Amino acid sequence: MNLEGSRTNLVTTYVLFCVYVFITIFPFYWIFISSVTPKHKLFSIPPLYFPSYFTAENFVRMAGNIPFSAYLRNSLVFALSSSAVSVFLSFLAAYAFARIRFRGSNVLLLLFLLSIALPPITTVIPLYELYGRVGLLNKIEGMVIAMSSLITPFTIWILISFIKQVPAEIEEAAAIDGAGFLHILFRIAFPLIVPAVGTMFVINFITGWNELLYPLVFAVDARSKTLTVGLTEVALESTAYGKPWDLMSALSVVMIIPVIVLVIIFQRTIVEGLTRGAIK
Amino acid sequence: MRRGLRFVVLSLALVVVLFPGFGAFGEEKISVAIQSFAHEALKPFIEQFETQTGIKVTLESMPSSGTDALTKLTTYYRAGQSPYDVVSDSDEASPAFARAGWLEPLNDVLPADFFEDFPPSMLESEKVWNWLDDKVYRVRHSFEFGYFFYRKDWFDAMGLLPPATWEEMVDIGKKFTAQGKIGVEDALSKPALLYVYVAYLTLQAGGNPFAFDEGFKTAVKFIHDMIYEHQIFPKEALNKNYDQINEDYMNDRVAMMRQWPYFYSVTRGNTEWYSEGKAEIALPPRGPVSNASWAGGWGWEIPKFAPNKEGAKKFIQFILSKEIAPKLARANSWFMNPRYSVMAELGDEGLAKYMKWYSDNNVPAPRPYHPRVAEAQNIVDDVVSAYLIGQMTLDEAIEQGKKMMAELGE
Repeated sequence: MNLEGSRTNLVTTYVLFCVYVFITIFPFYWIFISSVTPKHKLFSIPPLYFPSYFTAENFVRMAGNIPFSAYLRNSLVFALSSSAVSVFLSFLAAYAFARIRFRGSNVLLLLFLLSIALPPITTVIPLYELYGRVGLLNKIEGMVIAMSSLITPFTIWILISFIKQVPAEIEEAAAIDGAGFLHILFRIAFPLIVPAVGTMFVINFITGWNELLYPLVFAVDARSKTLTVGLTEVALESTAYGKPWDLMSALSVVMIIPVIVLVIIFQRTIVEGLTRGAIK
Repeated sequence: MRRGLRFVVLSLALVVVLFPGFGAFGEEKISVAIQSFAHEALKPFIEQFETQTGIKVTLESMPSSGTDALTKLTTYYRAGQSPYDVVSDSDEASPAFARAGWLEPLNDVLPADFFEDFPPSMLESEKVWNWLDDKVYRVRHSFEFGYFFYRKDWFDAMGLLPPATWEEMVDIGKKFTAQGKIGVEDALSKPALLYVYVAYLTLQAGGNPFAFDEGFKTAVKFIHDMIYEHQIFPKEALNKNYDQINEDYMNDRVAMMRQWPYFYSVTRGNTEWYSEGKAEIALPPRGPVSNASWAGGWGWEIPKFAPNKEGAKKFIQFILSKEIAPKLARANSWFMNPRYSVMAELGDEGLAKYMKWYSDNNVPAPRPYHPRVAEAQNIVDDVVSAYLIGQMTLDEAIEQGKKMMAELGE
């Protein structure tokens, strides 16, 4: 290929890349400017892509419209706990599947796969009945159990492939040196797949953070409701018609921030985790 | 002695920590679920109720959309439980709940003369939507119907009167379109909004949108003609929601528009734009049969599985009484309805004047009923949308709609 041709390819690639970035970023930009635009300027014609009016009033009104601090705390506890529980249990299960040969392990793995395919809405009613009997309704613990059970199978599947990439000889050498099972598990195997665990922690956190169905159904009051439920509750004054885009945008911005912070914190781990699977 | 005192204090502290509800032992309480925007208005009346009855009331927030509320409540009721004693519920959910046997009849709760306070149009609507086999399962506290807003200032300047018929609306619309304005607009996006307008016009044409009858055909053809033949209705409205058409209106682009009552306060609240005559209300233009505007709303119900049904019944009696309901309507327009007692309290204040005017002229009509209303509305949305964007002919749309409705069943 001549120089002219490769330059054209490069320009095309960059143009396509820019278009992709624009399509990805624009909704976030729009949410952000909507959150700081006065309500009556939101639907200006022509649209204000670069607004000259800025206000924090939407955030103030949003925080007054729902019990914001309680919902934020619940969201954090719910997402962090679901993510931590699912990643911890998945690591243990994935290690067992990857390293221990036992009867029916393949069938069990397939069952996990089936449970991923099952839409959560189909299990919500029996789960609600069960929770009612054991006193887990309207409790974050109950929601964490439900959410963890939802995301654990997928996490197990992902972690198995990472654990299998770790040479078993390393663990055998540790065992010869006298290391016990727990020592091998947490001091040898775990550090080697930290990037994968970190990546799954972030992915599961985002899944839990954005989850609506379980909090909508299982949470009855502000003790357990999350920000996603808050998004369904913010409303226009005195009407169920229309959407309060100003308040919803403000709440969305608040909801996006923790995810961005978490991704920035785990950035290196995520990149390592995502690229490690590509190279053997 | 000191050790004994310390023991007692520690024991009490332990009881309080381990059993947080200990102090409230024996206290009767109920939980009332309603959208958060109504909480402030309800609070003074709840205090009054608590003082009168000794029943403690906890207000809980519900999702603002009927479909989210439906998801939430269906799970509770299907599981034979309810965390709430009283629920403010939507038309989309309540009839199905009543048919499933998940709601408590309210006949014994309401005074014998209770429905004498209802004008015929509201009573008819209540019977269609909230009564089943002569049992009352829900009573609407909000009763909302579409109002016909128009630019009186522009009409006056051109020496025009608001249209009394569809034909006049078309003629006047053309005059405004010639000036670069939008003659008539409504939000026609899916889901639901297109259905709202189709049902509105179908009633005026004497039909039923779920039957895909002649009235339906006339109404949908009329929308099509307004868009393509008369060009007084923008095709872009097929992708617009209420916020967008409201902005069109308040950016001085629209001459006439059907909209829900909240638009009254939206226009008055836009102080930079609003002045007298910019959002006047007229009676809806008459179609081939009537000038009806269908009414829907949210209402109080008691789940069969409510933990404290007796307390809930006392609350319903209190909040729907002729003494409290009018005061509540004054506190928040979401509780406004054409009950005689409410209208007497509100007089000619704001939107109440127009609600009474519409009610006196028998404009409010029962919302078209279907036992599976949300799904039935989606069918109407789908086939009408396909016709309006040219994917099928009107006859094909009607045939398809009838087929889908038959498959939906009851």
